[in-house]
Amino acid sequence: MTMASDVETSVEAKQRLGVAAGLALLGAGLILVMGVLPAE
Amino acid sequence: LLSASLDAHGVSGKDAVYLQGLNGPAIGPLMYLGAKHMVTGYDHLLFLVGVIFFLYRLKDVLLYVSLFTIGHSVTLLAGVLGGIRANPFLIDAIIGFSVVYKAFENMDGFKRFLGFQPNTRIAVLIFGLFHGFGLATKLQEFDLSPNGLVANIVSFNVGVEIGQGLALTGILIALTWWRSHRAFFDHAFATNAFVMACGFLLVGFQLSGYFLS
Repeated sequence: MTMASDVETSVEAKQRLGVAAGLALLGAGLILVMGVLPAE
Repeated sequence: LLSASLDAHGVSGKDAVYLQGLNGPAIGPLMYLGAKHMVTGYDHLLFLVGVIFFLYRLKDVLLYVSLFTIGHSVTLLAGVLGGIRANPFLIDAIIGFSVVYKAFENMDGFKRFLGFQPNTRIAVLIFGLFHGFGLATKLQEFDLSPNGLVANIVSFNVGVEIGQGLALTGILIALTWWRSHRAFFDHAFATNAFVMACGFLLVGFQLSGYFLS
């Protein structure tokens, strides 16, 4: 029961990290493509 | 405007004209330029924020900052005095990646995904080498006179350390105040995600510069 709970917590943390990293990449890409590069 | 501010971290304007016409030792001005470059160096500062984000003991802060200082001093001096050249865009892209790396580590990313934590001290030292090389490439853009070059580069490096000390003091005061509030723990993950986004932005901007130049 505890092991299953640990696995769930780990998967949840990985998902959270993945979403955060994805959003960071997406946000940076959008700023770059929409704001920075056209101004170059 | 955003582009201009992102690109502003090189040595430009009056400072560039001054460096170009420099002939002979100019210890004070070079120390000022080094300090200014560090205080306004958002890429170096972002990395330092990442490094000290979860360091609570002053002893640890000093240790990690010393490793970073050793790293960037070695390559700044060796780069300029030894004439070692590299593409500034690629070096700055690696500096941007160092920001991403540290933020990901602060988010516990390596432990979660790889199951182990790469040695942070070695990482800080290695990225410090790249940050110093980044500083060197900025100076190598100018045809610096060999007259007084050693004194000038050492002065620039001392200025960099002074600027780093000033910036770090400010960051540490702000972080210490923030840590005394519960909001620090609530927002630590999101803050590092934001730092990571800034790192990605720097990488993207520099790689764009590399491929478009």
